Amino acid sequence: MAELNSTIHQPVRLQIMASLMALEREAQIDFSSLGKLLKLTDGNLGAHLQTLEEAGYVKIEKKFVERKPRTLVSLTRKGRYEFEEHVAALKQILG
Amino acid sequence: MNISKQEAQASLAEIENVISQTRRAIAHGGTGTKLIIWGIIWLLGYSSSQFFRNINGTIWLLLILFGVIASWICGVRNKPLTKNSNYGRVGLFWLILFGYALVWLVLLQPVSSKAVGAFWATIPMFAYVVGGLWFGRFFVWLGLIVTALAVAGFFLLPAWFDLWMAITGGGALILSGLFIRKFWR
Repeated sequence: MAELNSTIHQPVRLQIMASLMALEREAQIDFSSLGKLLKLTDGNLGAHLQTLEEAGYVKIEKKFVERKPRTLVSLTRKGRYEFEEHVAALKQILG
Repeated sequence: MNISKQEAQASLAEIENVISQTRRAIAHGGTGTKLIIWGIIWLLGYSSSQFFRNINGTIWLLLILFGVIASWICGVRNKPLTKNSNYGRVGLFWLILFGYALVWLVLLQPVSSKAVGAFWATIPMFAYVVGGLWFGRFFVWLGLIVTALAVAGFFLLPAWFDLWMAITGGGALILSGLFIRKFWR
């Protein structure tokens, strides 16, 4: 039986995880694009991403793309699994 | 951790909303402009089928060639939102779809140019409806409406079918493109 995940259930983190779930597997999204998409400030997004990274749900990579520093975010396999479990638990509540 | 049914429902709705929003943002790169380009191509192509039947084949060929090149340029100019996504698969999907459509056309052997016109009108709309299952209801409705218009015109306005498709099909694509450019962000 699937269980609710308190780390994912927090509203902002739920949005971040849902947005990353919409990407293809292995795909990365730019930190600033994700912030713009979810209408989050850099500080707010950064803090929640850190929590998700510590839980092992997201991977954050800093790279130089065309000589500019970019922070790229992607969902880990564990993150995808935990999110699917959380969604299954939500559906179970609805019956 | 325990939550109410209402909270669970709200969470699921929020998840669905964010997933659609993200997919739209990914697909946004030039989608509106591409729809406008193909709307104009439909408008000119089907008008030529109505009024210049003897040369409409050449006109369509040139218009499609222009559309493919313009869509490609549009795709290159719009920076993708994500990295590592296989955007080539979208182009490959369209190639496969039109390849199969050609095979179906050879097998079905439609007897009138009107039937061929209606056939080609519904092929991309089929793709819009299926694609809409991932990108949001907007494309499902666009595909269904243009398909319904094509079928209605085919049976109800046989003499003016091409002009009907030029105005309704081309118009629907142009309006959708304008809508996406304005509201999808």
